Amino acid sequence: MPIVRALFQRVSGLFNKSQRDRDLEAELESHIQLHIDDNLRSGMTPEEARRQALLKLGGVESAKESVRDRRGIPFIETLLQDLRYGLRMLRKNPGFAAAAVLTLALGMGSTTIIFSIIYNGVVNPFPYASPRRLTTFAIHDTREPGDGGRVVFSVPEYMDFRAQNHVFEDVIGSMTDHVFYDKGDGSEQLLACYLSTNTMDFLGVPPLLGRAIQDQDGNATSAPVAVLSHKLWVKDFASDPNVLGKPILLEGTSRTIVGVMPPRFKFDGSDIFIPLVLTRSPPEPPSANSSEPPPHRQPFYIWATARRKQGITLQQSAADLNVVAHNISKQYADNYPPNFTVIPKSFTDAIVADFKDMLFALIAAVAMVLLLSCSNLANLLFARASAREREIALRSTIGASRGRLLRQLLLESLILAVAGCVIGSALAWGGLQWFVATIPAHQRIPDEAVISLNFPCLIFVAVVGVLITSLCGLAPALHSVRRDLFQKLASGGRGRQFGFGHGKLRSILVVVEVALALVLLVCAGLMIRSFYALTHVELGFNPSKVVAALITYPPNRHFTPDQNRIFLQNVLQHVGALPGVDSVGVSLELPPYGGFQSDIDITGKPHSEAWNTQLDPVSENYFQSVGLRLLRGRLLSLDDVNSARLVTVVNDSFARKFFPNDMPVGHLVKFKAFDHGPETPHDAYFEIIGVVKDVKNDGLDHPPFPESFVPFSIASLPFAGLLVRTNVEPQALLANIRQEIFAVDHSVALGEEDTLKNFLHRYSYAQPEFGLMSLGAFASIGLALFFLGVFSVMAYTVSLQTHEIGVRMALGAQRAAILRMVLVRGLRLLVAGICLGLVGALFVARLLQSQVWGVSFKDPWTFAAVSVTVIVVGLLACLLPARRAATVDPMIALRYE
Amino acid sequence: MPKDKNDVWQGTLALMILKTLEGLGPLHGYGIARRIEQTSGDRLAVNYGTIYPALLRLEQEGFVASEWRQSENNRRAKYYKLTRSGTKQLHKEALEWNETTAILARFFAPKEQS
Repeated sequence: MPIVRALFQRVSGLFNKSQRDRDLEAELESHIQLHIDDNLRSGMTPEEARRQALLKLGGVESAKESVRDRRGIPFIETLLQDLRYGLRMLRKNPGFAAAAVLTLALGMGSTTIIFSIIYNGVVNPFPYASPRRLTTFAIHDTREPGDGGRVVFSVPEYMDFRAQNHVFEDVIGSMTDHVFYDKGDGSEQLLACYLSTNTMDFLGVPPLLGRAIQDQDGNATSAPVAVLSHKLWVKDFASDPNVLGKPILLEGTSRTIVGVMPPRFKFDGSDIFIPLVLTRSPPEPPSANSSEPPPHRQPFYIWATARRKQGITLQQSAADLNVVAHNISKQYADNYPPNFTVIPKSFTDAIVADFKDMLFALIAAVAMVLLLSCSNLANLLFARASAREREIALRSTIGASRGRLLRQLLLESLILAVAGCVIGSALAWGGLQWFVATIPAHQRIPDEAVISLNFPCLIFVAVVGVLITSLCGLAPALHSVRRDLFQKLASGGRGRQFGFGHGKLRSILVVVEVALALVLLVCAGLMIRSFYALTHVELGFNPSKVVAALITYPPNRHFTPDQNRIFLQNVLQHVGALPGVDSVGVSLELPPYGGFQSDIDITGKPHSEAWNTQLDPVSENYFQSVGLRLLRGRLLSLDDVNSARLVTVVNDSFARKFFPNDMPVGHLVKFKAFDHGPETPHDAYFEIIGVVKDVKNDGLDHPPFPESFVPFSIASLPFAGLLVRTNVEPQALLANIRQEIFAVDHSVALGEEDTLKNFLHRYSYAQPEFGLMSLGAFASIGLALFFLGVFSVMAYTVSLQTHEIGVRMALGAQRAAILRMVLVRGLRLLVAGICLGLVGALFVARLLQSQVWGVSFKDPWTFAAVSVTVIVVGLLACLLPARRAATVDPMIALRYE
Repeated sequence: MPKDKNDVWQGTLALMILKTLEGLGPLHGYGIARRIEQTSGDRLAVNYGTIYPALLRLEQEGFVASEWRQSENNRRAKYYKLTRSGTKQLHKEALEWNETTAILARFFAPKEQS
């Protein structure tokens, strides 16, 4: 207890110092007086009495000192003193302090953001049990390049793999499909995931409510059940806790809701989970006439996902799977190419493959930003330490101990580090919010991933930041302390020999900085070029003011082609009559994608290889709605549609590919895809009546594919895309269009209703935009750091040279010559850095190869533009110090010492 | 080493101060130092200054309390007196001290037959 009490007393002893000092003074004074009195009494002279008293006391000051040490806590007292001094030094030099703190904060913030994204998005995105051992596998045809292959398996195949392998704990089967969801007051399409009954147990995520899908649900006689995703539960059931036991009508089958999954369980991004009923017998083809669909449908193919046993590597599993696959391939000969190998992949890899290259490029970018900030910080601290060598030497000669000096310098570095860490953390937090908001919404990062600030990483980076700052702050300090003090003082501390030859070290750091900034800028530049190319690609049609919607029919409805025509024409009429609608057309797909693919035959044109085309059933107004220009012949007419005439309009690519030397109009073409449909014209030849201009129909990044448009009335479509060209703001019409479609038929479901522009943005521009934004942000940070770095080093060098410049000017040097001298020195460093950077950029840009489009990753224009930018920014950073050098007053400079 | 020696000195000094205060009642720093010197038969010739950090420490630990008072020959001086916990501490430390010296005495005593 007394110890605690004493500690408390000592802490309070840190305060109210002057009063305690007065008290001590008085006490010692009285002590001496009492002693003198005694001495006088014993017969000494007054002088002798006083002298003896003081002698016996051992010196007033040393007594005071020892009491003071005991009064407070000396360590903390000097620490506070150092802290105050450190803060004062930093305040005196706000530019340096700001630069150092900002450098640290930027480096720390960006590193944490990227690490958080990569960790949550790639390394550990799934909430599933032992996600690292989850594996998918593909049957790879050895004749094909790459490592892709068939990843879906027939049910018996899946069962064989499950039973015969020795490397997996278990294998699950799943497949996703759109299902028609009848809400009672309208219909909707949902993405359903059909799961083998062991799936939920396998993935190890307990349901939020109710129960998961269990083995008992997988028998042919089981009652049909469904488990809701969290998303659907919130959206359509208002998070109702009493949802369990309620029915849900899917594809005409009433299923009982038995559970709700937690938010992060989004297997394959599905809305709802349905048990698969798996049997070895092949699935029965759906009978066309039955209005009641069978409650349990067996899919033809399912995805297999497995978990490797503990300690089994991907390679080991490959060996075992190959044995199994070759074993069963004889049984399912149709499914296997003559020579194949099984390639297993980690589940994470399979899902985020697309995004991975981009993330690696970002890692490279962030590593560069971190390196930039470190070298900047080192530079700043080195520069500062050598500027302070004289001060340190002075303090050392008047009695500061080495430890005390080191502590002082360490403390100053720590102040910077702490400030940098605080701002850096704030930056990381804010930046991550922004970053997550810019990530394209679908498929780029697994749905299950929740991207949040990674605290271990933040702490790690903070520790690294503090260490770097302390080391860089301390290394020169150690050196300064060790140096010969007198020499330092004698040389005035400003002479030629500043510090430990780190004039050279500084130059190297600047060169490295220039190189790193250049690499970053080249990457960003390539992304900008690529994005520009992509957004300015000639679409062939005008996406603005076009609304698109996908109409899906309920599963139990069966339309003949004629009924289908009447229904759709009714819809077209209703929507076409809306004010603000110019024209409305029907097609199977929405641009920039065409319809389905079909092999073709053209009369009089024998060919050995397969000829194919995209086949798009459309209405006569489709051409106006998209804005397709007619090149030759005529377009489809209302009459063609009404009488389902066998005519076709082809695009320019079709004409150029199959009719290089003659006119296509008048020729007959057969679409083989129609030969197998239940209600399509078999073995029918269509007359080519016109040729239209090409539009993008195979995605934005591929050239147009041959395409043929036929009257939609020749077949019964499973769904239809509606394209509405408006002369008003299209967004405003969305609700009206929806209303009109439902007015015709309330039982159809609508999907993808949006403007074509948004549709394009979602599917085509979002990912490059993300890359652009993130790399752009890093490049800007890099450029800022680079500017800061060059500026601080040049400013420091100039300040060291003030004396020399003064002498030069006193000897008659022109201001312009001085300016040139500084700029040329800067330029030399810049050029060296650019040479180094160009080499590095070539390596790093290779990582971006799959992400850039329409421009080579070695694009000379980008490299040139970036080099010029770096030189201009670098020279700007030199200009300010150079001007200061040029305006040095020789008199002041020479007196400066 | 000097530090350790100092620690020992500080520890025993504290005990001497407490004992002195117990015997003489409230006393100022000079008086205490003087008294310790006399009691030791002038064998302890230390700087009087060292008494003050020791007194401060005892005061921080709550074993002594201080107040300014008039001295017998009419000078103002800071008087220290034993507190209740100081008295307890004194008895405890005195016991420990006796124990320690007894043990040490056995070590230095002439060998006995066992």
